[in-house]
This record gives sequence, C-alpha cells and structure tokens, in this order.
Amino acid sequence: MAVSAVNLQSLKKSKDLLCIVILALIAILAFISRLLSVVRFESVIHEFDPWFNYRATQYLVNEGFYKFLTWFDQVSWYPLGRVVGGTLYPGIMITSGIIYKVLHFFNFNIDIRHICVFLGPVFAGLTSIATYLLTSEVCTKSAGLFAAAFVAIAPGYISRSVAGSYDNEAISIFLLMITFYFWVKSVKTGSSFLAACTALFYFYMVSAWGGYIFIINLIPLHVFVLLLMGRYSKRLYVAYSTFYVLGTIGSMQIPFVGFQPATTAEHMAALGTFGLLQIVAFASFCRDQLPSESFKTLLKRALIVIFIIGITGFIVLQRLHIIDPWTGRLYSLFDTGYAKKHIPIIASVSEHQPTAWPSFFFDLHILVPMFPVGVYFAFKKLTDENVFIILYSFTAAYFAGVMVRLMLTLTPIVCVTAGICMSYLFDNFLGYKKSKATVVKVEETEEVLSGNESTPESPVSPKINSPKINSPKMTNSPKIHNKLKKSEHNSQKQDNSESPSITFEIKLIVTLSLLLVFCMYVWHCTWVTSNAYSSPSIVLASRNRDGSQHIIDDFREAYYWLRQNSAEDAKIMSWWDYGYQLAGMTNRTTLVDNNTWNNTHIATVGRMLASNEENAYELLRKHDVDYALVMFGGAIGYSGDDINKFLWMIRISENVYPEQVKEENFYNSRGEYRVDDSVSPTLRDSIMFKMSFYRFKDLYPNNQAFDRVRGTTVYSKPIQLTIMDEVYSSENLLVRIYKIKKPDNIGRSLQSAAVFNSGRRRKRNRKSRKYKQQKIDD
Amino acid sequence: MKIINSLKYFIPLFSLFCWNVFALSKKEKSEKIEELLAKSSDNFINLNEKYYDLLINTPRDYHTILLATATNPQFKCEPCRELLPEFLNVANSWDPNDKRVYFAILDYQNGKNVFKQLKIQNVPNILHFRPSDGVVKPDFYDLPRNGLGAEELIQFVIKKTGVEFELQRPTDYTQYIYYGFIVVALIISIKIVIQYFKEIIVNKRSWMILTVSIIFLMISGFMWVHIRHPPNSGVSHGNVEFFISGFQQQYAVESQIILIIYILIAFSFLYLSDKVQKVKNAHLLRITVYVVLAILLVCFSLILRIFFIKSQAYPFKLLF
Repeated sequence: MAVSAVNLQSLKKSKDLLCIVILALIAILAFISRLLSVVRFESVIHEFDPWFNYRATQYLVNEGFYKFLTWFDQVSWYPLGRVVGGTLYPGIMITSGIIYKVLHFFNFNIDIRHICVFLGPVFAGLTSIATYLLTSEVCTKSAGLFAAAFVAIAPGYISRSVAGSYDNEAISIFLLMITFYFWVKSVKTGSSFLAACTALFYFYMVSAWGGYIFIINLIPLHVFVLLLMGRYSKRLYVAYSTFYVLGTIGSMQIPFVGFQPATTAEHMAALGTFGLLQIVAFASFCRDQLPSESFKTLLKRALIVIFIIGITGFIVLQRLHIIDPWTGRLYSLFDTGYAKKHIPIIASVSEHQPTAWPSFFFDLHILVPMFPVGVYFAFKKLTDENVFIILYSFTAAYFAGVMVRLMLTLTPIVCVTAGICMSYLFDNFLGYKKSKATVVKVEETEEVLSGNESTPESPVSPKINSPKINSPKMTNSPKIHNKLKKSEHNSQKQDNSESPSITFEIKLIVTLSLLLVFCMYVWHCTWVTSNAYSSPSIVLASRNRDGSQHIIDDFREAYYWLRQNSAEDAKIMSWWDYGYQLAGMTNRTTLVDNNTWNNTHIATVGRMLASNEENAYELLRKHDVDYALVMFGGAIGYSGDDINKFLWMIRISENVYPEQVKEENFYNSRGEYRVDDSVSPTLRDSIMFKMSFYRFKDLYPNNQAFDRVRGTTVYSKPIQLTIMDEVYSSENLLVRIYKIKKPDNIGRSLQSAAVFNSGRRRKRNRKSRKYKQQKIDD
Repeated sequence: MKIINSLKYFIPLFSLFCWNVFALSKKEKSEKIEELLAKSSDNFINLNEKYYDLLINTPRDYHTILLATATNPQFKCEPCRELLPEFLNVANSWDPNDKRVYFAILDYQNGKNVFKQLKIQNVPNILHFRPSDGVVKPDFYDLPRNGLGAEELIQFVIKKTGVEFELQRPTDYTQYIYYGFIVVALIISIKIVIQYFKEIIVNKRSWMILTVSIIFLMISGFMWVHIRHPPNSGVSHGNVEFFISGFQQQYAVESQIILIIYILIAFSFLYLSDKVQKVKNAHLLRITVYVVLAILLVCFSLILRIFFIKSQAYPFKLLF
C-alpha cells in the first residue's frame, strides 16, 4: 500500500504539473489567435464603441481619476453635451489605466493605445483559465481543460475580444466566468470568504458591463430553484446572503448604477430571493427547535402566502411607479415584437436581431450539438452546481436565440458543457486498460482529498440536510438523489473495473475520428477569426485580382482631412454610427454619437438628412453645423453605407416627428426603395440622397453610373446641391464631406442665389443656357 | 376685361344663391343624417350610394371617417371582420351628440360605384373626408403599417380632426367572471396535477426533457422563425428550395432539418460518452460504436455542406 501511495502521489503531482502546463499553453493560444487583426492590419482601435472607450481612457490617464468621474463632455451631443462620468461603465478604462500606471511605474514606457489594443486578448487568456476553474469545479479537471481549450478559440467569443476591439465585453466575459466560479464554489463550500470574492468580482463586473443584470438575476434564480427543489442548506444561506449584501453595496458605488439596485425591476428578483431565503432560514431554524407535523404544514402555507404577497406587492409597486419598470432593451427580450413597434432605435441595431441557425453554427461549430449532451450530464448528476449549469444553459440559450448579441454570454457555457461531454467521452475511449484503473483510483483519492479539504458536499451535507427539508413533498428528491448517486458511483466503479469490451481498435478509430472533428473545429475557428472577426471595420480589406491584399483606408483618410482642415470648434453632422469615431479621430464636435441616450436629438439629425434642402438648411443653421458627413458605398460596394441605413433613420425620426417625416414617401409609386430613375421624389429631394449621389455620375462616361451596393443604375439627372459645397471625398468615395454654406450676404435664399449665379453664366454661352435652364426646371 | 368686370358682380350673387340653397338643404340633411344615425345601435351611419353623396359630397362642416369594407362572406375578408369591432370601439368613444365628426361604414355591396369613384382596390380601408364645400380627395389611413388596433386608429382620427377624445372600450363584466373562473380552475387543476402527476413534476427526467428540447429549439433557430415568420420553403428555377443562401436569413423548414441533424449528432455523442458503458456484448458494442460513429460523421459532413449553401465562401468540407 505504501509503495502504491507514493506512486499515486508522484502521479498526482506530475498530473497537476501537466495540467498547469496545458492550461498555460491554452491561455497563450487564446492570446495569440486574437492577434490576427494586428498582423493583418495594424495595431489600431476597431469599430465604433471602442473609439469612445479609447478616448475616455486617454482622458482618464491624462486628467486623473477624479476628473474622469466628473467629466462633462462638451464635444459630443452638441449643443447638449454629455455627462460622461455618470453615464458610463468605467471598468474597462480603469483596468487599462491601472495597467498603464503599473507599467510606467516599472519604467515600461508603453503607449496607452497599445494597452487598449491588447487588453482584449490578455483577458481572453484569463477567460480560458476562469472557464477551466468553473468546469473543474462542476465536473473534472479534464473537462475543465477541454472547456478551456474550446473557449480559447470559440469564434463566438473571439468576435468581441480580438486585438483592438477595446470594448466592455472584452473584459466582462472573464468577469462573468470568474464570478460564477466563485459563486459555485461558495455554494459548494458555504464559505463566506468565497462568497465575498463572488461579490468582489460582481462589483468589478458591474463597473464594466451592463450585462451584470444577467448575473444578478441568474444567481437568485439558482437560489430560488434550489429552494424549490428542497435543497436549502446553510451553505446556500451563507453564500447568498454574503454575496447579495456585499454585491449590492458594491454595485451602488458605480455612479451609473447608483440606486438602481433598490428601485428598478431588474434587481427586484435578487431582493425578493434574499427575503425569501431569510424566511426559509428562519423557518428551518424553528423547525429544528420544534419538530411537529402541524407546524410543517403551517409553514408551507405561510411560505406560499408570503410568495404571493411578494409578487402582488411587486406588481402594485411597479404600477405605482415606485419601482421603475423594465428597460425597453430588457423588455424586448421577453416580448419579442415589442422593440420593433415601440423603440426603433433598439430594433435598428443589427446586434439586436434574433439569431438564425447559421450564426449559431458559425460561432460555435461542433460545440452546438455537444451542448445539449453536456446539459444531459448535468441532469444526470444533479448537484447544486450542476443545477446552476443547467439554469445558465437554459437562460443563455433563450437569450441568444432572441438577440444575436447575446451569443457572447452563451459561448462560455456551451464550452463548459461541451467540455463535460468530451471528458466523459474520452474517459471511455482513451487510456490503456491497466493505467486506467490507476487513473480512476487517483481521481477517487483526489476527490476524497479535495472533499476533505473543501467540499463536505457529497459525504456529509445530505445527511445533515435530509431531516431538515421543508416540505414532505420535496423530501423525496434528495433522498432519491443520494441513492442514485451512490448507485451511480457503484455502477461506475463496476464498469470501470470490468470495462468489458472496448477494444484497442475501437478506441483508436473513435479517437481518430473525433480528432478529425476537432481539427475541423480548429480550422473553422481560425478561418472565422481571420476572415470575419479580425477586420477593424475602420480599415477595410479587399483582394486584388492577383490575390494580394488591398487596403481601403477611406475612413481614416477623411477623418484626418477634417482634423487638419477644419476649424477647431467646427461642428460635424453625421448619423450617430460615426459619432465616436469622429470624436476620437478628428477631435471635433459632433451632434450625436453611439451613446444613444437622447432619442429626440438623434431623430432631429435623421430629420435633417431626410428633409429637402430648404428645410434642412434651416435645421442645420439652428444647430450650428459646419460640416456634414455621409458614407457612400456605391462606388466600391460597401453595403453598410448611409443609403442602406437611411430607412432606419427615417423610422427613428418618424417616431418623433410624425408630421415632418413619413416613411411611405420614401418609397416610389410601386412601393419600392429605389435609387434609380424610379426614385421617389421625397427621397430624391432629401439631402442624404443628394449628398450621397452628388456628382457620382461624373465618374462614369455617358450615363453609365452604377451603384454597386444597390445593384442598379443611378438617378440619371444631375443633382443640384445649393446649401453646401463638396469639400472632400475620400479615395473610393466612401466618405463624403460637405461644408454648409453661410447664408447669402444679400439675404437671398441659397437656392435663388444659385439660380442667379448659374443664370449669369448663361450669358456667356447660349447653348449651355438652355441646358442649364432645363436642369433647374427639373 | 368686360367679362371679368361682369364676374365681379356675379360672384357675390352666385354665392348668395348658393348659400340659400344649401342653407335650406342643410336642415333637411342634418335631419336625415340623424335619422340614419339613429337606425344603427352603434354610433355610425350605414351608407349606401345615395346617402354617401348626401353625407360626403355636399357642403359640410364636419369630418367624416369612412370605413370601406366588404362583410359579405363571399369575399372572405378576414381583416374586415377583425377591423369592424375596433372601428366601432373608436366610433362609440365619440360623443354621438357632438356633430363635428361622423363615423360611417360603406359596404361594397351597397356602394360599388363609390368604390370605383374612390379607386379603392382593396378592403378594408379607412378614409377621412375633411369639411369642405364639395368633393374632396380623402386621406387614407395606412392600415398595413398601423395594424387593425383601435389605439392606432384613434390617433389617426385625432390627428386628422384635431379633436382630442379618448378611447373607451366597453367594460366587459363577463371578462372578469371569465378570468375569475380561469384562476379558480387553474388552482384546482394545479392541485389535481400535483396529486396525480407528482411523479412527473418531481421527476428529474421530465425536467431534463423539457430543458433539453427547448435548448434544441433555440440553437436550431426556431426563435428566429417565430419572430420573423419566413416562408416555409422557397422556389428557385422551378424546383423547391429548402435552403436560402445568405447568412442572416432562413426558411422555416431549415430549422427543422437542422434540428434533426443536431439531434442525431447529439445522440451519437451521448451514446459514445454515456450509453456505451452499459453495453456488455462485445460484438454488439463494436457494431453499434461503428454505426454511431458513421452517423456522427455523415451528419457532421451534411451540416458542413448545408452551411456551404448558406455561406458560399466557406472552405471546409468533410465527406461530401
């Protein structure tokens, strides 16, 4: 025995070492695979929101923390301005600010931009470690390693964490997983220290991402379901009470969250569960003191009554507007038709669309069918932590189905369950018969060891619990469960010891074919990463005929032009999508940006773009606009341009200005949205159309202008633009900048001035006069 | 010039004349309208061609909201039937003694010529006629966009007439009884269900089946189908097409096919990871493992192939 014990010890040690090495390699892999965007393009901040985060981080680093918290940004939302300090989640900025300070303390003079660019990949490495911890907590270490490997390269997560995508989600998936890890662990052990860790990471999560709502509803749901299952325990009480109190106090420290945990409906489930748990705890304490049947039934009824009173009280308070109702974004998750009808600004964002099946497959590949199998295993061994896994899987699957964006929260749990599935599978098919027995033994001893150290769950707690169960109805499940568990243990042992007939040949073939499947997964992930998710979207890439890469850098080109050539206090009007980029790169004042806090202001900008020149000019003057900027993809086939987004702009402004803007006017007589000669007159007169197609025709000889996005010819008559001058169009005509004219100095309207000017020219050339006149009449 | 001069005198004369004529008919007219209004139990006028001219083509100082519809069963107009009670809700919310707005209904049977005149091609339609001295071009209510709800309709009426009034749905007391009945029935049935189906409710397996099947539905895109209502399948080049090319769209049948494939793959994983332990016979084991493995690989290749249809740039394939 002694000899074998030593062997086991050394085996266990080398196993641990191997485990750590593998995990480290996985984390490094997670980091490296996200660098493709830097390799392909350059170290640049991506997309839209990251530009704001970057700008805010710069402000934080330059001006200091306290100034950052009270930052009033005058450059955005002209003329309103924006209270930035109180309306953002500062987690990501503070994280990179701290890293910056620490590195500079050690004299690494690294630029803040590089920290911002590489923050996502670094946290992705940490995420895979956190996933490992969570999975090994609910299953085995090998499952943990599988899960970590899956999550390291799963495209669903890579999409938000490639180098340069400096967004809240980049760090918050790590925080999500680590919070859940500590939660599961604290429920398992009943340690208030671990629960405090949960609360700490929850606080960090609250500071980083609005998705913390998911945590503060999922954990109470877990507690509630455990109570329903009759699995109340002191561990649960300690864990949840500690977590809720500390976590709520912590979350209230974030200015943007403030008193929301006490007043909004999103947080009420947590509060209610907290109250319920106290009552249950009190009741179970009483029952320990007075064991009698009648008390039990009384208790049961009292609990039901309290529950109903709580729910009705909640509804009444909500009706009386003491508790704020759910926000529209959250509400649209449950009533799927809600957003399109009432809040077009939410429905317009492509991230908020429901998810078609190709997206699931694209983001998770072979993990998709493994996901339900993992859930099956969680059901099979129904421990407290597996209940958590089931609830997380279920809710995340639903949310991901409703909103593409929430694929992000689904991805980690899919990796966890797939890891569980794979570890069971390879338990069957890997390893020699001889060594397998020892491995099993090692695992068993391990379980016993760790059980003694930290988890009294399986051997001790059910015995303590079973006499204390609330209702007689519920007593069945844990007992059955215990029996099941024991029998499972036994059968497993038997199976393993017998391990009847899985021959080497079967093992080899199964392992090889699964290896093939995993190779496909890795190829798929690499392909997706390099083709779909590594594009910074501020720099576009296309291929030349010979296959070499052609970089389209129109955005930065145009932004730099503005930076160099406009006055410092110039106000630039564009659709809100480009607000953050404009502010970040040109350092000029914008009217609206991606923080869509003021719907009316956005609708006003939409109205400007949708009105004809006369009305638009009035509005533009009222808002002191100096430059107007539109994206036009017709020349190179960039489909995300403003003409394609225009219908959403119209819908948003129609919601606020139903008199001035009407969607139906922008369709032609056949009810189509066209830009060729059958264009509707209202669309033709709108300045958005004019700004997009102004002189576009001149690029092509004799009326052959072709819009490569819409796939049609364009409106064939020349476009008159009298209220603004074209000052800049980028290389591929992607960005077009117009300068708004000053009012005419002798008080004419700009249109009549333009007519007059062109009329004067008429005198010189009689031939062109007729032509010009015709044009004006049109 | 002479003509214009003579016109100068003529216009006041003419208008005086007109005024007299209409003043006379006005009284008659309003009486007639009241009579018509009294005929129907609700606050609307049932029109035919004659009354249509009387109500709408004569000089008037009131707004008219006209519902052009076809209630005859031969037209099979489902929306007409759904719209009618909503329209009546709005009409009844208006005070019948207030003469500023009239609500009217014109059925296709009673006014084919009017439909022709107004160039109404489809029913139902809601039109607004503003006060005027004669024939006016009506404003159409955008039904396809606003839907059949009374709330949207009343907004339209308020906007067009400029008179604020609130929608008053008739309180339906039977509804309360109905809900009360449902609640009681629910409580009783829960009691019964708990008694008889305790095994099922407490049973782990039933919960597992429920959870796993909902997860399956979600991951194979049924939510998208539920929200977007795509066609079941399409037609291209004369053949039935099951898969639409394009990443963000799908047919309803796609989800079903994908669901079956996913279930097959999941079962093969399940067999390999769990059930395989329970097989004791060596031959049986070997055969089943190979069969399951074959199913796994075939389904996986199938899904890669289908994914290639969706996204033409996808470079990977396994068996075919």
